Amino acid sequence: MEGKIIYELNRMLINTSKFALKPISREIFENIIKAGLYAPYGLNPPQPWKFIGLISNRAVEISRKLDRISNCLILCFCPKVKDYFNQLTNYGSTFSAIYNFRLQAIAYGIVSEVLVDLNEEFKNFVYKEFRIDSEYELVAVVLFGYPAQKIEPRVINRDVVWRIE
Amino acid sequence: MRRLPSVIFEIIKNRRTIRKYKSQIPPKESINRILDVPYFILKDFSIPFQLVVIQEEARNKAVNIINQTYSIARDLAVLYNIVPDDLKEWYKNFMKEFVRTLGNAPIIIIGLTDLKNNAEYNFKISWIIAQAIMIQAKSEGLDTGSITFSSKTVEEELIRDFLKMDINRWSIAFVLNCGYGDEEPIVKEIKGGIYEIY
Repeated sequence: MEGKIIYELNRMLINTSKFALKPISREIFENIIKAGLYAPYGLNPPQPWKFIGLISNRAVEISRKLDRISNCLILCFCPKVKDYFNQLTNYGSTFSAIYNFRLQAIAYGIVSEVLVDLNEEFKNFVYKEFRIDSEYELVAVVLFGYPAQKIEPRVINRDVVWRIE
Repeated sequence: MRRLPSVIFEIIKNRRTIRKYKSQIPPKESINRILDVPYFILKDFSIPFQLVVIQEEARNKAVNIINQTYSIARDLAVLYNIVPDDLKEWYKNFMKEFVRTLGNAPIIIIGLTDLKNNAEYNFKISWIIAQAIMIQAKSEGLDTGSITFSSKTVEEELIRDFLKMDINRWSIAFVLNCGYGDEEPIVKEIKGGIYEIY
């Protein structure tokens, strides 16, 4: 039963760049962020991420710098580590959290967009504006909003290799 | 009836990394839904990606390649430090068993991408996919767990000799066990204070 529900929500997880500017409540936004905190992570270092959530005017102001207009967004940071394998592991945990944010959001009827390729100018602005420790890297911005138009569920063609013997 | 957001939150919250599985094969309908999910994500994030599902004898062959590296015990070794003293001996045996069998899950799902070009981006998107697989599985009543290892030799043997794929094009982004769990995992505490809202 729940499998079919999640499957249908996954079909609705579509990167959307236009949002209706209907406010998202702080309570709902906190629940979206909390869902991300349950993503898998190794224990060393614990919870390898830092999230800053912005709502209302602050979010609109920051999203404009990304050529978007959203009244709710999450800045996602990951610690920089020297070991390449550990760095990839940290990215893995942080992007797992991003999936959780989006799934939890769509359950509220809220759509989202993940921006990964962020320019250096924007990153430096964020580091300065939010006094981010130099050990952290801004790896993604996730924008949220109620849909400005109807979302059509995805249809896909699967390409999986099966090995049995 | 619970509201949809609460249902989703509980599924996300209750997903744990499982390292011991029953031999029971999951229903095909569930597996089909699990394997569809990556392709929804790939519609937005176009990366080189190949999903391989391994079962039965092929699974045993893959396990015998992967368990050549002791690095698969890395996460377990870290967890050892938080295991209560009276359970440490049991946990040592649990670790040894996992290293030998990789948990005996009836299905192993391997995600491959290109980590030679645009590696960081490809890896990040691959892990959105991995998490989507794990959450879909949880909603199907199934458990999952990542098998992490860091051995170039083992990775190459797996890709080139076992999967018969081009090692110059493909790297392993994740390896996931999938099946019905046969353990109560150690619960990790989610600490507060790691997010702020302005």
